[in-house]
Amino acid sequence: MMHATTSTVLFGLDPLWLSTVVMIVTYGVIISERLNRSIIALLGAMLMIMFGLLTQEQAVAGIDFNTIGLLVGMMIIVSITRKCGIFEYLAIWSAKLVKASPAGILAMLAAVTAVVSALLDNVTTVLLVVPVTLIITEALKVNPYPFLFSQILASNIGGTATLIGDPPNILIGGQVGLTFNDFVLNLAPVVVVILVVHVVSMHLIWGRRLRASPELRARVMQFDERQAISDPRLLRLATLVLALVMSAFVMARTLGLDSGTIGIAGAALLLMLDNLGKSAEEQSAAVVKVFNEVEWITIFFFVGLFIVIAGVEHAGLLQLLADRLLAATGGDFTRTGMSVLWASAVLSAIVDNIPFVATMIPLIKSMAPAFGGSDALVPLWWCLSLGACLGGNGTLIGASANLTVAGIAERNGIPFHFARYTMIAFPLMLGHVAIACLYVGWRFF
Amino acid sequence: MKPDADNLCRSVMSQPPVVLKPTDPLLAALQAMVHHRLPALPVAEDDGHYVGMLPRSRLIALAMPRVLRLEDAQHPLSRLQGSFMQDTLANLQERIDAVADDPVSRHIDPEVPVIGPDSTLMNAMLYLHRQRNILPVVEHRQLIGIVSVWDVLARLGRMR
Repeated sequence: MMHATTSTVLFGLDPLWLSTVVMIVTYGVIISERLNRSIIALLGAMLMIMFGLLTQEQAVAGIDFNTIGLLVGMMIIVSITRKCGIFEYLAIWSAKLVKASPAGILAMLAAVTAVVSALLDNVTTVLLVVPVTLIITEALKVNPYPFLFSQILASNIGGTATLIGDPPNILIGGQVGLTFNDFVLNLAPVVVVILVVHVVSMHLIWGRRLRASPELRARVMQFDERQAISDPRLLRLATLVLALVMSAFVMARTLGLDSGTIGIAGAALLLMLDNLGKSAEEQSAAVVKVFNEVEWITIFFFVGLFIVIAGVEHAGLLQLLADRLLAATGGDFTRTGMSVLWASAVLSAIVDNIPFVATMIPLIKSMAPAFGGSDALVPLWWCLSLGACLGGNGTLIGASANLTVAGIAERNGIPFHFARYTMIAFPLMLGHVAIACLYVGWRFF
Repeated sequence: MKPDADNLCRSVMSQPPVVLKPTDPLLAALQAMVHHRLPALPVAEDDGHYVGMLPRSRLIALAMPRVLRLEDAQHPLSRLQGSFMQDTLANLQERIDAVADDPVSRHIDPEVPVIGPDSTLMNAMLYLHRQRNILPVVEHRQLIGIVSVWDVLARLGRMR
């Protein structure tokens, strides 16, 4: 079997232009949402190969399996863990902690959402917290909108704090080789500040006016959170594996393990523990169920994107863009960082932040020579992460968690309008990015 | 070749004891359902134009918080276990009271399959086997009868 080793571009066209056209068309269709994003990403990827811009080997080399491994591993761990009911438990427990006062619950559920989001992906977090929120707000007879609005923002804010909290961070961490600790030490401090600001602003906008009668509050106080734990055995196993995975992330450098390995190892361990002692048929049924819950759309979207980006990178487009960006900022490091932060924030509010971040990573990498090596680039990664993650809060389509909450809300008869959301969320998002801007300016530049 | 009538729904079809009007209040429909011990009631206009079915499962669902009623195929985990709630009968009644005056047309189940008098008996059997207890028989958009598990079981037990 012969592999094509060198590529010949179709009709002898200029590879730079051809690859740019393929990327623009791919991204255009992704933004238009006329076609499922995994389909268009794979089509774009295959066009890169068929047009001779990449060989199959180069395309496969462009796929970052560290990122894919981490994503799949965490999806498997989460899909098993979420069934045990611990997150519903946390939500109810936190509501009772504030004596079921609506303003207190508004703040507590934002905090719980942010903390859970830092450890799980944002969509899973809101899928777990929102239904409990709706039950609590129904019992209290208060408007659920402020709670859901606040949880959208909290999930994107909390997700910013860790390597595994939000897809942009998984991408940055996976491709740049930044560890879990790097993310926590450099991003968590500002995330805590932004979260506090968020909770206070939610209180001022809505919380201080929310009221519920003592009888209704008593009803929530009667909720028995222990009943929410549906599978105590699974809870113990999942807690054990999550603790092991987190410790491995923290000690990744000492252990010499990449995040993809840790994610997949945790997934395999939890699958093993969950299936020990089951018959062969039960095992295959359980494993099929878990594998079905892996979000293959996201995985194939990443695979396709990686290849599309490898195509434009190979043709030299990203180097060219990096040079332009450097020229525009006069090669000034601080100005470059601030441009990355604000541009990422505004763009992520309007378009899907995953393709944006995936393109920016090689682009920023190619600036290394101008700024004195790849170690000097580290502050730029924090700008990219803060901008892309926080920017997602700006509009209802800015991040997938936003659309997930809006979807559940609509099905429960709670209207979630784009304009109404954006009018409040966009200025709040700009405020959060301004805090991030002050922070990175003070700490890194 | 015209199929033999014995293999068609027409042969087991019966007349529903009650047909609801779309404007009937939900509470009256609930009471009629309990009175006749029926798993679902057909809804039709005065001229017999078929509107839909109101199943008892819908009424049970209406007594629960809305988020627990949602069947969300895309995100199975948003199907929450509500066992931590300590609702009393009064709490459940309160939810029914809130919808008691709704017209039944607002609560019909769009998923209920419709059969024709000339659908095959096996077609009805397959639906009944899949947990449907009662099927509306509709011809030219007119409700002309029902096929219920009782109609079929009575024939199977040679009681009719």
